[in-house]
Amino acid sequence: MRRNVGALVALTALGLIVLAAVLAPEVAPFDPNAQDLNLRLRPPAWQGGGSRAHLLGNDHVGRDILSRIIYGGRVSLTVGALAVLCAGAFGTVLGFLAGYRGGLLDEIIMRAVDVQLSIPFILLAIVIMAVFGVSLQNLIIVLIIYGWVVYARLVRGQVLSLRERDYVTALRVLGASHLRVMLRHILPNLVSSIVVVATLETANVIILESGLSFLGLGVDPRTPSWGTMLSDGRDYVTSAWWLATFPGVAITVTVLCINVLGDWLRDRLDPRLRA
Amino acid sequence: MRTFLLRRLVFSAFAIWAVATIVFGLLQLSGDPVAVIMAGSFGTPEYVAKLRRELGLDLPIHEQYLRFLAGALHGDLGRSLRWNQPALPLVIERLPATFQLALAATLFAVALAVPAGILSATRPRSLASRSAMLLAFAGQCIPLFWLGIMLVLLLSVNLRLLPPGGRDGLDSLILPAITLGMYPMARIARLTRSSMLDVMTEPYVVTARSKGLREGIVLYRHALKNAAIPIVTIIGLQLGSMLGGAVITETIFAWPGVGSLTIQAIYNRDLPLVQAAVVVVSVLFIVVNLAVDVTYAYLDPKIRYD
Repeated sequence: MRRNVGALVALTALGLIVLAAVLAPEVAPFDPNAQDLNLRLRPPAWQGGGSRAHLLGNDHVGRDILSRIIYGGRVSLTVGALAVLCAGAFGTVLGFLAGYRGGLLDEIIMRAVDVQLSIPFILLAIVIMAVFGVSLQNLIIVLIIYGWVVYARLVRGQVLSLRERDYVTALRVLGASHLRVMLRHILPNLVSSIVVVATLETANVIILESGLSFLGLGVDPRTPSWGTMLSDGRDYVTSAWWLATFPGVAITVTVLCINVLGDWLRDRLDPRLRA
Repeated sequence: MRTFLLRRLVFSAFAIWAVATIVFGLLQLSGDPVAVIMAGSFGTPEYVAKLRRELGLDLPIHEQYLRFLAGALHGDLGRSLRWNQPALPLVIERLPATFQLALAATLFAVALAVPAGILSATRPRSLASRSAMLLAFAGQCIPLFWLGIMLVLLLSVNLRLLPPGGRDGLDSLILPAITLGMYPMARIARLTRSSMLDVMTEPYVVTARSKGLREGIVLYRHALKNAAIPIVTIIGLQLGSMLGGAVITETIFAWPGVGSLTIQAIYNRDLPLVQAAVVVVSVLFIVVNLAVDVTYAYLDPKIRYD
């Protein structure tokens, strides 16, 4: 019961965050890139010197922090969702092929997974972004490279088990093609596990994207994103605590909600994933 | 056991080769190193050609690759464009700082996580247990770069208890170690809890209790020994990943380790140095994982016979 309440609260909070991100032009009080040096480093509304018009204060070039957080949510959630969808699709296909076909294809794919897991990914991501340049497209590609291995391993393991089931053997004996068996009979049994993992991975992807942006190797620094806001705020932590605090709260709350939701989904759809 | 070890050794060697190849490939795609060296200056065509010859850039790509592999086997991972010195010694010079940070973070994580996990498994309804698991859950949600900044804000700027950065004395290690160790602490705590819960229902634990043994003996002499196998494994794996994951922590706290060297090299477009740092850290990561696998096989006889 308590878990359900927690999941409901998380879902509601996440829904509000997503809604705010989608309706950012309507919800954000100011243009996130509008600079006003007369307002630079203005504190939040409840502190001396603050203003109700700029509820969470202004940054070092006078931009409204609340507006940047709302627009930043757009970037993080869009990048996160896109990367998870693409990584999930790519990883699922490869994992499926590895598990169903077996043999050399399985060896190649699984060795690729093992090699990638042998490299601390943050280093690899940093090198890729440095080599190919900072852009949204490259960032999504890096996040897809990061994410595919989880799905590949999960799907391969489950397909290996499912392809030995009697009903699969019966289908093949009855003349069903491999494609039909894979798509109509095996894939539906994997959907719940993939959904759970995708939900939990979204949180990791958002943190990785924010981390890369924090280092200046994620989104274009001119784009409002939670990571770049944190990076800017780091230089002013002694004089303007709000610059670094609120973007971090936004990331933490979003990731918290996604993890609570993911845990609840796992318990409902596939408790085996607890292992 | 021997077959298992051999397989892991062969795979580790393959992984090291693959990492070196990937990094070499990526750097070939990064553009002309001569352009980086010459940036902003004008060189005669003869000078540029001389530089290319010295760097081996006039050779075909497959020869450059073989030259790189041969050099790597002899400890030559290229020359830093910024410092005009061999890259490997520059990286090795920074390794002790990264090791120190990773070890401190691991100690912090284990010291908090294992007791928290045991408490949560044995007294799940107690306030301490619930607080510990809440902290563990939060630890997995808080991005470490934000945690680091908030710790600096609170403990250095506001309370002036600890230095905000640099590597100067043991107190400068505390904040970076907490920052880097928070996520592993959370993972280890949750795993300890689930591992203890699994073991506590085993028949030998029930027997030990029904024999009238004190709870402490049941927990620490019987349950924890077997629960420790996956815990030791994850501690080893987290230590390995901290070697690479220290990049952000070292950047926040100006900690002079391999991670901050890598970031500086990237900002300076000093890609041979980046290459050397990534290869060295990846090799260490692979070696640590191999050590963890061997330890796991030693502790759990079932694995040896797979």
